[in-house]
Amino acid sequence: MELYPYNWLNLLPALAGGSLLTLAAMNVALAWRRQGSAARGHLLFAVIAASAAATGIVEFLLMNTRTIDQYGALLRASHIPISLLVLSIPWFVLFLFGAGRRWLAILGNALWGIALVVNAFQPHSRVYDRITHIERVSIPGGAEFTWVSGPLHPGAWIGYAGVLAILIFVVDAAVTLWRRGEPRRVAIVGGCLGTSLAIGLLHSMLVELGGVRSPYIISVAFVVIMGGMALELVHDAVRVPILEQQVRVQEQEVAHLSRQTMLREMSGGVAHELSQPLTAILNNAEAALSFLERGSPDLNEVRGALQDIAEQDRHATEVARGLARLLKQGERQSESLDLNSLVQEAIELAGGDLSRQAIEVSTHLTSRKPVISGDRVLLSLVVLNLVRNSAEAMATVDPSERVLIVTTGMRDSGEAQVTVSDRGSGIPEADRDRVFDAFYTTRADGSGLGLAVSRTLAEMHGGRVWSEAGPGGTGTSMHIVLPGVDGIPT
Amino acid sequence: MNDPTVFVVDDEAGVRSSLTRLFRSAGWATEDFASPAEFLARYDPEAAGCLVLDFAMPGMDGVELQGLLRDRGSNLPIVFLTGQAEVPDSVTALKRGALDFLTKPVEPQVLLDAVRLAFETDETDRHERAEVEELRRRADSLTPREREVFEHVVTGQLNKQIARDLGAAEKTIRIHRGRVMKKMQADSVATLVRMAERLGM
Repeated sequence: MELYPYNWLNLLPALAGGSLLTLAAMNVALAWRRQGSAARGHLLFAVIAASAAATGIVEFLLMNTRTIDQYGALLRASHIPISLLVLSIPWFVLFLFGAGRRWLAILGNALWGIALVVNAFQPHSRVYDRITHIERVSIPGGAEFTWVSGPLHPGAWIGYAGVLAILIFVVDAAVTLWRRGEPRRVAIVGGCLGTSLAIGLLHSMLVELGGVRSPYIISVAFVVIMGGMALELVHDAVRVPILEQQVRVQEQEVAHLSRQTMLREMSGGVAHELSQPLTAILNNAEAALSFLERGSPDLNEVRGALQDIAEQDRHATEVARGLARLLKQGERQSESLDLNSLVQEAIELAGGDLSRQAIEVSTHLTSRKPVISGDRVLLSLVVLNLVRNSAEAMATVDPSERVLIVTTGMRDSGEAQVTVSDRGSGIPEADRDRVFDAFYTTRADGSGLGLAVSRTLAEMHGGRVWSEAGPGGTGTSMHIVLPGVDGIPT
Repeated sequence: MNDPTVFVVDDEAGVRSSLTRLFRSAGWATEDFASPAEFLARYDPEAAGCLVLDFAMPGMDGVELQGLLRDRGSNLPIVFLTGQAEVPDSVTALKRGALDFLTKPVEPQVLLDAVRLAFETDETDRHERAEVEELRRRADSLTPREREVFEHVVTGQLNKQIARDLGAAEKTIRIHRGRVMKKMQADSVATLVRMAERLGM
């Protein structure tokens, strides 16, 4: 008679072990690529899968053992992979899902630990005081397996209690996840882990306690369960790069739209700037002609008109040069920029709004040249949005109190910083981080996008933005920090 | 009457001086102000002319200034100049009686025409108001009894009916009526009726 006959029953643990080892390997690979709690989760999953695979090997051997002493020794040895399985499940749930009561996990681990100590000193494992009976049981399909019985050792009960504690831990964690509204995780924790533990516990008790003639099949149950869990974990692992890709695409769109908005705004400003000198030139020319047509022309008036025309023309030329510079910025580009002049440009651009709202602007620019690198248009927009936001924050403040303070500086870290402070009503501490969220706004007419766009653009340039209470506790200070560059701005 | 003056309010110095020069070249007196507040501080409500007002200015916009002038009882016609035509704002301004709303850059001839029209409007308005003022002065010189008779006469009643209504002799009423006509400088009952209308009686 063959020692390991080829039949379906013997094939099961082998298949289970192979699948479980594959899952374990996959999760080790994923743990390598990911970070933090996700990596720990994948690693623990790999441990669980590998332990289940090892359990499968022992179960295969147990089915085919012919002597009581061999069976006892194998049963003892089987506690090593089973322990890894039982001990790692609660920590897997705690680390990956942040659910479950730690004390229940520790209690379950401790009880199982005692059972393990007992197991170490018992020749026929913690389960049996001694195995008194061994037989081969035949089942349909030409398969047969070894089955034993004998009086139980108290260690059996301690082990059951330990697994029961972990089962309760798992059910409790599933309830917590349910309350948090995470049904998929409930399915993993409650459905997969809970069911497998319950089946394992119940089946062991039936075989060992109830005298039911059946081989151990924990590993087979685990294949199905671990397969389901692996789907979820792999789904997560695959989704992260997809989301990252989406975020990158959205950032590019934000940048593109921001540039368009900014250029439109700037060209609107240029058109307005041009209309002033053009109006003045035309009026002066018309007036000069009219004076000359008189019988005795007032030459002083004509001279004044011509002087003004020349002056206004120079002004218009300046504006036109600015426009040419602007048009060159059609493409996104990275260049060395002087943060001071960037800030001055942004304040000039907001000038109309600021003076309409009777806001006094106080500018303190650092004498150390704050050179940064990036897209002039986008970075102007970052500053402009912050200036506008601060201006709007003072809409309800008495006009004499409306002061906007803009400061630039170099940090010791070599980063360049802009701070825009207002004397508005300030932001409640609890909402301080939310102001940079998209669609978060306290104004009825606000889109809630200005500051969100600023943050996105600043982060694209390797910088960051944040807000805090203004100087003396009144109003708000918004800070932008951008990586500094050594060099001369072009 | 004083010569009409163009009052220019614009915060852009270059534009402001070009506007005053243009108006001087048309032979008009001008006064310029850098802000609405400056204008309000120096403006004489009796002065004739019109106001050329930049629409968007720091501190107070054109519509606000318009409102303040109306509150002070000034009917000075206003020609608004604006950088970018803002439809809702122009509607508000026109509803409140702005004479014109011109988008910069304005063709000088269009602006001169607008100012000329504003002068005419102002003069007609002042003339009208001066006449009503004179009529009111005349009406104020009537005795209470004469005023009663005046009110009855303009409804088209005959002396006999008025005498019955007021409980006086017909002869007395005839004398009062003669005094009313004389004091009001009316040559006929029809003229007197028109005067009553203009006085809002």
